[in-house]
Parts: sequence; structure tokens; C-alpha cells
Amino acid sequence: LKVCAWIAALASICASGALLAARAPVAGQADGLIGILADELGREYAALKAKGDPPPYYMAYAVTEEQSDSEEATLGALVSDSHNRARGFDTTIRIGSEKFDNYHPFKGSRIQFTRFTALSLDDDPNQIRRALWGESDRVYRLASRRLLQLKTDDQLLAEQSEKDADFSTEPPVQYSRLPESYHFDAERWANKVRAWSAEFKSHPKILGSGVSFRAQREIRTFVNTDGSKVQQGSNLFRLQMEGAAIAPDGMDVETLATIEASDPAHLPTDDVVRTKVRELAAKLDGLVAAPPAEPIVCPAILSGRASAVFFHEIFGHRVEGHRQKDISEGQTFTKMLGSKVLPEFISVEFNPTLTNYQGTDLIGYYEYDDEGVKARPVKVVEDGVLKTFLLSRSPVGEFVHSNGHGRRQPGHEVVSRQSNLIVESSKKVSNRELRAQLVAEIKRQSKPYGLYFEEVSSGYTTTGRRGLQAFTVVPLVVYRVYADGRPDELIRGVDIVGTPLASFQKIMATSDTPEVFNGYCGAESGSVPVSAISPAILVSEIETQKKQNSQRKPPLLPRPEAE
Amino acid sequence: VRPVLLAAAVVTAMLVYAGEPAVQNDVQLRAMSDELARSKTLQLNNLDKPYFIQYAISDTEQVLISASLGGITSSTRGRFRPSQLQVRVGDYKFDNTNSIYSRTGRFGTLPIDDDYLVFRNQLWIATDTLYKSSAEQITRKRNALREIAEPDKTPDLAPVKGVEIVQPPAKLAIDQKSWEGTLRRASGRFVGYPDLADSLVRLRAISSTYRLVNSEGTTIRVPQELTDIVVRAAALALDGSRVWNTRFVTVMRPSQLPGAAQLDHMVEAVAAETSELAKAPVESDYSGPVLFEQEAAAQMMASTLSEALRLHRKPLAPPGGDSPQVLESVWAARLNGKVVPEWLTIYDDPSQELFKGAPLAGHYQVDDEGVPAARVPLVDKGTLKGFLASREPVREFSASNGHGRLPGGYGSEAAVIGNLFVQADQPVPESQMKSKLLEKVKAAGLKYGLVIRRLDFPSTASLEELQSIGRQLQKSGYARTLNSPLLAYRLYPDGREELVRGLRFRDFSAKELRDVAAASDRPFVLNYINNGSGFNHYDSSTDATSSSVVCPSLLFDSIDLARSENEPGKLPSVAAPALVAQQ
Repeated sequence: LKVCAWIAALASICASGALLAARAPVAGQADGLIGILADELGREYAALKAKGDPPPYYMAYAVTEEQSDSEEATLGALVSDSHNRARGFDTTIRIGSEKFDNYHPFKGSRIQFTRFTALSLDDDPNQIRRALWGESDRVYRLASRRLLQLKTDDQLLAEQSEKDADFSTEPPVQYSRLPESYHFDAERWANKVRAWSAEFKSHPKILGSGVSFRAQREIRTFVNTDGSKVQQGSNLFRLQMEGAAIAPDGMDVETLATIEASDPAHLPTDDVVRTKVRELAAKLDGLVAAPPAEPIVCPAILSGRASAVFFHEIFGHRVEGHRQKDISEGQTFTKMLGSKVLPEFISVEFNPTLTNYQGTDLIGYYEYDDEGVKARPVKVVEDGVLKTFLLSRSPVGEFVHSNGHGRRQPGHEVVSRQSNLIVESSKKVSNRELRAQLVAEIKRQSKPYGLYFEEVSSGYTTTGRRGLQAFTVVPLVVYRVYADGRPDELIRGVDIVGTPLASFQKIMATSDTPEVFNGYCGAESGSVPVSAISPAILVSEIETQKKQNSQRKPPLLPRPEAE
Repeated sequence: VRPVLLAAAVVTAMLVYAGEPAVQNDVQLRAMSDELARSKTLQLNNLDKPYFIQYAISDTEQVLISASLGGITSSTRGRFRPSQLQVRVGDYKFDNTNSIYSRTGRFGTLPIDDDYLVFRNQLWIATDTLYKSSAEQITRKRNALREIAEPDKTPDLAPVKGVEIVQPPAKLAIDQKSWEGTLRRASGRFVGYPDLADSLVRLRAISSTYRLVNSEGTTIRVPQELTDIVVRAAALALDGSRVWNTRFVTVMRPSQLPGAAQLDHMVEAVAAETSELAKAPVESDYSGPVLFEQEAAAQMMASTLSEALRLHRKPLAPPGGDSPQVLESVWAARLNGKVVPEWLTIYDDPSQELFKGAPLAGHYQVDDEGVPAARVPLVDKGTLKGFLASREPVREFSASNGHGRLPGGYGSEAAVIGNLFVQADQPVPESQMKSKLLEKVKAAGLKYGLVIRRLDFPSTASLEELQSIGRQLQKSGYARTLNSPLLAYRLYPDGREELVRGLRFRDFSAKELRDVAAASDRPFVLNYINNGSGFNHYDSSTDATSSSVVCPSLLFDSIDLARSENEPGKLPSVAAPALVAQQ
């Protein structure tokens, strides 16, 4: 099972002087760290090669340092004020050979060798070397035990149809570019989130609400025994606003919006944020008053942002390379290379090298992946035909090299993951025309109405064979669209159901205006930032069900008033 | 030293603050009491009404700093206000708690701004949610009750007369930067011991202002503070097994912490002891007289008595279902019976601030349920006289004695040690304890006796070490055991001492205390952070309080210890990296 939690982000491009990025040069300290890492890696590798039985053929250390500052408020009062700095590392040791090593998947089971281990923030060689040494010893023992077990188990298995190698060879790289450091004015941001969150005060039906701001600077330092040395990082500034309420029938309704930027100067102005909060609160009031959804199969338009999630969930996860090797996975696309998997007017590219799209920062951007492989654009689908997979250094069939999509959250093992997904269409029409086509389709199918999915928040997809081959994207804001000219009607509690392969075939046309969705995606290798860009899509058929209703009674007493 | 002046200030403050103004001047208390008053009217259809509502909020500030080998590995400062709320429906005799359906009412954290209306708003939502779930719990409890032939008729909550105790709020006074420097330097001293596999120095300072308001008319605002420093090191013995050693200093406020010189001394001592442990011979099974010296005696009592002096109540469960296992106190059925030699007396007295000038970490005025603390006689001249109690009635014990200080199970509060005193009537001079041990060694015809100087209490076992302890416990089938010795020495008839390693206790509980043969005349003051369990793991609890045990060295006729089955691994294939001297 794999859970993918996406958090919506609103696209905004405005300048703001609220957060001043200190354009200071990169501190020389970093060289200290990479030097210590490379030295200890060399020493450990040489010693294990000489004494280890069996010896390793590859080792890597990946250090992650994070500085984060956040302020959170509800109804004008500060709820949390937090400032953290931490540094830790992951250890990779491969024993055996590229063809068969301790990472070899066995009956769908993978094991975790690494454990995120704290490192001194001070570039203190004593603590850092000792910590690397202790972890290397632990991981080496675990890895050698695992390899022995795998070799025995493998002999007991009926021959697998495909025998992919476990690790690819890649050229060593050297790269260093650190993100700018920032200055965080805690009191100033506390006051901003206080003021923004106070907007919810005039919405008595909203029971829980909050606005938070988080600034984060992450530096990743990677060294491996191929000779790669990579230091890179990113800054992320993120505003989040959310509200929750209970509809009269006891259904929970919620709304959520986020704004991401890689530079504080890209954040919207205070007024724009305030307007967003007001809109969000008004939308939630609208949802409380809205009629509940009914189960229906009908044509629908997914907004660009909604369809971005749709593609991430039902398509993106299934082209992740490691799923093609694992017999416990559905392997939906494994045998479909060179075949049509999407309508011929759709192409899909993953491009981690894009920093922004039409002015919106993309959080799925990186220069080197977590195995030190250079990021590059990968065209996965061309004119509807599946061309390749997202690849880490774990080869899949004819693809014996990584395409720079090996990613992880610190503390997890790397697998192939998505970056910036871009849906391109050659059958695009204006938004107005797309809507006209929807209305025509509603009429053609004699449906009482169609649906317009404006905002979706999260979803999960099950690709394992044991699970249902179905996806659920959780829609936040959905309208009924009537063919007879009645105005659109906001409804609440819509859940999408259906089978993924089938739904790909039902795309009729797309709009000509792509939208960006930034979010965090959770899977085997933890939570990683990703982006998806898509135009709105018209599908001839979508199946929806009514969301489970918790039937919570609204509070018995009225909201407390001033003294 | 905890200033006596403060006590005077507190008394004055109580007089000054007593009455309405105390509440009126405190935004949080005012919001709590106003919302509580309104919540008493809650009622859903014909369901039970609340008869008892309680709001408790810990306004907490904490600083955590960790350092190893001269580098800071983490340093954080945080401010938060966790809450614990209760809405009980039914009545004191029968309410929604003490059944398997009952839950403890945590409700996230409240704003760190003192905003009256937002506080009330959050309490309003929380109270509403808790009320509804309490009403559901009591219904399920009643349904379960119908299936039980002879249900436990013990009441569910002991009534208490309301009190008002309002003291000045706590303030965390600590210079984080300066302590980072101190820890960096202190942890850097381990660089002189390259044979140690790992080491750390960690500081934790928590200061909270505990506010409580309940529907019995109680209003409390008291400081609750705890601060400690732990120094830990581990090493690999030549056979590949891991040894570790720890020293703690536990106080209330950072100002009471030892200075840099004393901290350096702690580090040197832990380092030297651990290095020595790595070279020490392995002791196989031992059965014979044991002297628990000073710190070890107090640790043994803290671990053993925290389980023996607390009665557990079995939550009501429908027959045939999975009713939870409750490990009863070994003294549960021994009231008014002899449990220790008649020359031993044990009592708990949280009202004591100092013992012979040393501050006691288990001092408090009022417990977490707003019950004023009092001296509780527990064992009088060898005879068991009572137990530590919270407001949760257990069997015939139907009143709190002011020891409810940690969240318990099934909606109750757990009773824990405050300041526990173990007193001997006919003490032996401390200097003669070893000769007493040797007498017993001779009488038993043994080659040597065992002196234990430190136990792993509170336990600082690492994840791997915990897993190994767990496996051993499971294999041995013991219901109870005692935290392993960290420092144990063979004492030979000629007075020679030899450090040994690799020992653990077999089945060990308060029952062993019947066999105490002698106590010394020098009480040791053990201040420690207490999470309520006998094992008391240092890291594995989000709730903790501070306690003290004052106890002299104790000699036992016979204790069984076994070789710990610590699976020794191979030594690392790669030699440890050299350490460079600190500037």
C-alpha cells in the first residue's frame, strides 16, 4: 500500500519584501563537511574491501541539513512558533555485484538498511567520523546478512521471467551549489499569520481554522565510491491556510490552500494572501450550505490543478521504474512499452530541471537526484505511446541507466519517484469551448448534469496486486454543471472512483491553459516534493460516490462570545 | 539549592492572590473557568449530563541540547500548551471512565498567545467533542455491565473539596547559547577516550505553569519544573558485547545544575568507568549476598516500589472479550501484613523541599488533580499501611492522597512517587556495610560477594539494547525484574574489588525486600525523572514528572543474578576513526 498525500498549492506571482533573503556567499564550512565525508568514505571502503567478507562494491553517504522556521495561528492567536536546525545522514552499502546485491527485491519485499542518524551541526570531525563509522558498521552487518539470505532464497525460487540487474553504473559527478541563506523575522511573520488567521473570526460556522507560514532551507551533501561529490539544496517558503466545518447532516467539510515559493520575493503581497484566506473561508461557508453529492456516472471537466493530481496519482505512480520489477506490484505498464497508454493527443514529460512554470515556482525541481545522478527531462509518453519509465539506478529491462529520478526523504531507501510532471496536449481548446463540449456531452448522454472539479486535495492509489486497481482523488470543491443553462451548483462530499486504465481512455479534449499543482507525495521512499502541470481535461465519463459521512453533530452550545 | 525565600514568596502570593482577583488577572484561568461554567449545561437529548468537568493546561517551555565529542547534534527551544481535559458523565459512583471504552482526554495544544476568546473557542469545541464521546462511553459501559454477573461496585471518582492555590507562573531561565558551549566542551572530553564507541551529553530543561480548573471549584496555578543532564557512554568489550554507563543530575531549575567543573568530572567518571567495563571480566550466574550501595539502593527502591505502591484497577470489559492484562502490585493483598523487616519504615512526603540541605525533586504542593499533597505512611515498622493514590478509587481505597501526577489508563490519573523516604531503625555505619557483606559471604561459603553501585535507572538503553532486554525478558518468563546493574563489583574477603560486567537480575520484585538484612546510616538522595513505569526508560515517554527516593545502602542475604544473554557480535571490521584533540 502506498499513500500519497498531496497538499494543494495556489499559483501566485507577486513580489513581496516581507522576507529578505540574505544574499550572503556560501559559507566555507560546507567544504569541511564534504571533506570529512569523502575521507571517512574512502577509509571505510578501503578497509571493508580488504577485510569484509563479502566485500562491498559501492558505498555512499548522504547528509541532509535542514533549517526551518515556522509560525502558525488560529483566529488571530499564535498557536506555535518553532525554529529548528538539524543535520543527519543516510548510509548506503552495496555488497555482491551490480548484477545481484543486497538490494535485490525478493517476493516483493524490500528492506531498509539506512537509518537517519544525527550529525554534529558544528562540522566537528570527531563526532561526524565516529557517527559515520558506527552506522557503516551497522549497515554493513545488515547488508551482508541480507545478501546471504537472498542468495539462498533465490535458489529456491522458480526462475523469474526477467532478471534485471540491481544497480547501474553511472559516471561520477562533481557539483556544488548551495541555496541562499535567509533571515527570518519571527515577530513579523507571527503578526502576519495572526492577522490572516483572524479573517476566519467572521465565519462562525467554521469550527477549526488556521494559517501557517514555514521557511525552510535544506542542504544535501552526497559522496559515493564512484567519486561523486554533490552539494545542493533548496529553499522553500510555504503558506498554508485551512478550515474545517460540519454540514447540517454531520458531514465533515474542509478546505485547504497553500502557496509555495523558492524565494521570499516570489510570495504574493499581504493583500493577496488576505483575499485568498477570505475566499477560502467563503468557499467553506458555501460548502456547509451546499447539497450533498449523489453517486453518478457522468461527463466532467477536471480543472488544470485537479487533472494535475489525477495524472500524478493514476499515471505517474505507475511509471515509477521499481514497480515494473516487483512481482507484487500491479505492473500495469510493464508490458506496454511502445504501446498506446493514453489518447494520442496526450504526451507526458517529467522534467526536474524546471525551476518554475509561467512564473510559478515548482517544488519538484532538483539538479541531482538522491543517488548523485544528474537530473534531466524524461519524455515518458509521446503521442499517447509509452516510451520509458522513471528510473533510479535500479535498471528495468532494456533501460540499464538511471534517468535521474532516484529520490527519497532522509531516513528511507531511494526508489524511483516523480519530479515535475508536465501534461502536454495537441487537442486543446479554450476553456469556454471545453465547457461547451461538456454541455454537449451531457446532452448526448442524457445525464441530469455533469461535474466540474475545481480543487482537489489528496488522494491515494493502490498499485499492489492485492489492492483494488482503483484510485481516489479527494475533491474539495466540485460543481454540478447543468445543460439547460441553470447556474453551476456547488456540492459537497464527492469521491471519485473508477479504474485507472479505463479513465485514461476517456479523455476527450483539454484546455489550452496549463495550471500548476505543488505538493508532497508520500510513497516507499518517504515524502518528496513534487509538482504537476496540466491543462483542464474533459472526460466522457467519471464515476463518483458520496463521501462517508461521520454524522457528527455540530456543537451543542453556541460559539462563546466576548465576555 | 531551591531558595527558601521562594517558599515565603509563594505563601505571600497565595494570600495576595487568593479569591476572585487571581482568576480575573489570568486570561487562561478566566477563559477556562468561564467556559467550564457554561459547559455544565451540556446535554444531548436524554443522555447523561456532565457531573464533573476539568480543564488542565501546561504552559510549557523547553530547551533540549545534545552534544557528542565536542559537537552539538541538536539544540532546540520550544513553547507549547498541551491540554488534558475531562468531561465525566454519570456520577461519582458510576461514570464513563474505568472501562475499556474510556479514553484519556488529550486535546492538542492551545494557542501560545493569551487570547481569552480563542481559548474559550478551543475549549468549547474540545468540551463538546469530549462530552459526546463520554456519553457514548457510558452507554457502552452500561451495556457491557449487563453481561457481568458480579460487577465491581467501586466508585469511579473520589470526590474532593475544591481548593484554590495560585502561585506565580514559572519562567524558564536558561542561557541556551552558553549551555551549548558548556556541553560542547564537556562532551569534547570524551575525545580523550578513543576506545569508547559512542558517548553523549544531553541537557533537558522544562518549565511549565500548570493551570487547572474543575467543576468542584478548584483553581490551581502552580509551577512544575524539571531539568536534567545525562552523560552516557558505550563501549565494545573484546568479545564484541556492548557495555554502557550513565550518570544523571536531576534538579528542578537550570540554576540548580552543577557548574562546568562538576560536569567535566561527571564526563571523566563515566568515561573511565565505561572503559574499565569494556575490559572487565564477564560474571556468570551469581546467587548470594548483595550489597546495594547508596545510589544503587535508591534506584532499586525507586524501580521496585513504583510498581508495588500503586494499585491498578482493572477496567470493566464485557466477558469473553479481550480484557486488558493488568499486572497487579505484589503487595496488593498484603495490607496490614509484614512486607519488610520491622526495623524499616517507608513513607512519601511531597511537602519536603530539602533533605539535609539537598533539594528534593519530588516536592510539590498540589498534584495534577488539584489535590494538596500530604505525607503518606506506606510501611510502618515493617507493616504495609497504604498505597499511593490518585482520585481513582481502587477497591477499599476510595480517597486520593495527592499523588496523581501522570496520565493513567482508561480516563484515570496514575499515582506516582513524590519524595519517598526509606528509614531504618537500627542502621549500620556505612563504613561497616562491606564487612557485613563479607560475613555473609563467609557464612555462605562463597569466594566473593557482590557490591552493586549503579543500576540502569532511569534506563538509557539504546534501541538495540532495549530489543535485547525485551527478548531476554520474554524468554525468561519473569513477570518482573529489575533494571540491570551498570556497575557491579566482586568483593573478595581480602577487601579487593573487581569490576564485572554482563549481569542481569532474575525475577525481582518488592517481595525481595523481606530479605533486607541491613541498612546503613547514610541515606542517599536520588532525584530522577519518572514516567511511572518501574523500568523507567529515559526516552520513551511523552509524560514525565520528577521524583525523589531517599534511601540508605541496603544489604540482602541472597539475590539471584544471571549472565545477560547479550548477543555479542563480531567487532567492527573497520577500526574506529582516530579522534583529533580539540582546540
